[in-house]
Amino acid sequence: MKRPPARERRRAGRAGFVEDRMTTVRELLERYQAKASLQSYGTVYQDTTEFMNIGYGDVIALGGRHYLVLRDEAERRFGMEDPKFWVKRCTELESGEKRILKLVFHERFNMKIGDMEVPCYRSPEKEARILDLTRGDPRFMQGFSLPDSAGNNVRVIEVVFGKRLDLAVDAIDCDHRTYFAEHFPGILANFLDACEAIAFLHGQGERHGDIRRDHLFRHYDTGRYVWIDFDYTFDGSANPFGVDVFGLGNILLFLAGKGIHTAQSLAETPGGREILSRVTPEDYSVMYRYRIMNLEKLFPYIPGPLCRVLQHYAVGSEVYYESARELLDDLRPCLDRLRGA
Amino acid sequence: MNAKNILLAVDGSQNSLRAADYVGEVASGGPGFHIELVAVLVPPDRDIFPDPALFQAERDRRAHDAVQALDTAREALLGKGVEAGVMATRTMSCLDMDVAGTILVVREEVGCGTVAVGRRGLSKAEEFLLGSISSRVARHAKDFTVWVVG
Repeated sequence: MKRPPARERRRAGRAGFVEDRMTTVRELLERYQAKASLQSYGTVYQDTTEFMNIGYGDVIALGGRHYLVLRDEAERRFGMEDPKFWVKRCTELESGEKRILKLVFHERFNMKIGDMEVPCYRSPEKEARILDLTRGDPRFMQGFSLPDSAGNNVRVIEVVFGKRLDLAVDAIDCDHRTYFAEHFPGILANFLDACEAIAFLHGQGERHGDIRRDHLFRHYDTGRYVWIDFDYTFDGSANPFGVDVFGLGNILLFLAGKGIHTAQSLAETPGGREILSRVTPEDYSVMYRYRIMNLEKLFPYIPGPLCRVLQHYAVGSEVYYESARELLDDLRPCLDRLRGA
Repeated sequence: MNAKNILLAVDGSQNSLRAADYVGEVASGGPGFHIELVAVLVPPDRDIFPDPALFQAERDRRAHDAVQALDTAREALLGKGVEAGVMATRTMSCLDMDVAGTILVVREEVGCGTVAVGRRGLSKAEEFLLGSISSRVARHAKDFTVWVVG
């Protein structure tokens, strides 16, 4: 998706998207004594339907508040920057607080999980519902939704003051044994809390929909883990929570292993090749046939019960978890064991 | 629990037709059978069909398919020589987003000692992610028999 250049966007604004004609961005900035110094003053939008036209220097007027757009949000995956033109990083002029505005973008696409493709949908309504359901719950990003002048469901999100959990774990500078003994018990305790949050959603008939390592943050102040981004959904009547449960297993694997260990990564060192010679096909992830789920073969000091939880996600398993609750029932005793050890 | 009181779950697929054939073979062989034919109606997800008209159209299509699945299975049973009088059909709305759970609720209600389902033949990865209704029914079986027909 490519955004039109600024000049075209301004023209589009003049052509009909400006609804608050009495007020300009410059006037709004003066009125609220905003600290922002803009290189260019854009347009005031009340209708966000044409979100591609809304960019830096524009203001979105919504529910009596004004949000100065600073930039489009982007996801960085596999070293690539993927802009999300329907997600705007803003400053709320009234309060000076940073906000993220998620505009309506109904999208259908295939989520690739291993060799499988799962049809996925982006649903503003679902995200708005979960924001309502989890209001005040520190385990979830906070925000609210409002219709714009055209009835689009705009979600106004508070920026999570934290660091992506995977990056935080990556940054712990020690060997795995030290990490596992000194850091992992605390991380697991917080992760159990995050799993409880997902079990709560499931109990309400809701799904997170996009459980990935980069959608779980560690709050700078509280240290608690916070889930973000709830707008994905998919059709899954036979196993409604399967994709969520799979996501939780992936994160657990990362946390327990302080990274993902694959056949390829092991093959790079003599020690790794020796371990690899003992890894059987049953030890790999049922979805990603190169990821090693049986961490016992890499780190023999990981307690058996925790390894057995991970092996529910392995090719060798005959029984899979159907809900976050089932996972929790097996995972919670692992923490007791680690703390008791 | 009466093992001759059979719940046959159908969805119109070839696998559920095979299950119907199998149940027909068994039930046509003697007296005392009752076959409860059940189609679970899974409503479309409103989040996936935000347009109310499309949502309703999909809902209608699924309801129609469920009735057709029951008719087809009933015909298969009649073809095997099962008497019409020993069969009952029902569509059941899916409870709590859980097809297998819904089948089990009906089984309990009707008091079936046997549940027959077709098996889709999913790969491990598909079963993990998409779920297998037959596996879930079998996993939760207690005090009744499950026939999984592949």
